Amino acid sequence: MDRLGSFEELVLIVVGRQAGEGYAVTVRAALERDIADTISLGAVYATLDRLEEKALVRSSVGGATPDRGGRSKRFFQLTAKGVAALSQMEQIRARLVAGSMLRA
Amino acid sequence: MRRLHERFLRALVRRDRVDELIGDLEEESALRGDAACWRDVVSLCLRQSRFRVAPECRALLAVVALGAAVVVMEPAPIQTVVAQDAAGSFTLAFFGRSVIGATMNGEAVPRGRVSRSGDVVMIRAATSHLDLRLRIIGRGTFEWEGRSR
Repeated sequence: MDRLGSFEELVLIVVGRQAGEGYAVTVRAALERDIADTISLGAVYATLDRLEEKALVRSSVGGATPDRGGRSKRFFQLTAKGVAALSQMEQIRARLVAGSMLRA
Repeated sequence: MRRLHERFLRALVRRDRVDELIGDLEEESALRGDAACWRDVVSLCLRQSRFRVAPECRALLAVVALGAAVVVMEPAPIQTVVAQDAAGSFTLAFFGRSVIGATMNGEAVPRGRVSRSGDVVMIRAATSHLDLRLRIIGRGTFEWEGRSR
């Protein structure tokens, strides 16, 4: 299994939630909302690139709009391997929490 | 400011990504302030660089790039300069090297009558013999040929 860093996992979750409509700007906005912290675009892109190298996401170009000066966006979506990786992380977390003091 | 963002990105980031990245910044710059946009520019120049940057150099490069960005962003004060020649008095309001307002003999000059080409600023008066032609030589400084009465 590819090990996922915590930020990689968060980005992967957000990409999954945005169902193929997500690009760096929307991924960043969702992360900043949920974790209440500032994130640079460079960090988001670096993470998306790593996830794509691991074949956990794939990208496609499209969506040029006037507010972007007619420039296209790079959309990201989960691959089947990415879905499996997220599912696996969830199971690992559940096992770890079950055996710890965190269990309610 | 946007053009400066674009120039940095075109010089430093991956060529295959430059248009997308400029598009992202353009979309974000309407919502975020200049400081946030410059942070993004620096992070993109470092993390999407067309040059290979060793990890240990990135922190130093980030400091240098941010320092340069702070110098560039330093806001210019608004300066008002009062001048007089034989045709009467006029004032110019400067923002850095840009003339942002003018009065002639106490009356505001409409914006459409102030034009600029390079360092030369033309201010058209109500009557043509009172037109002003001046050359900007620095922040809030200029020279002009005195008009006659």
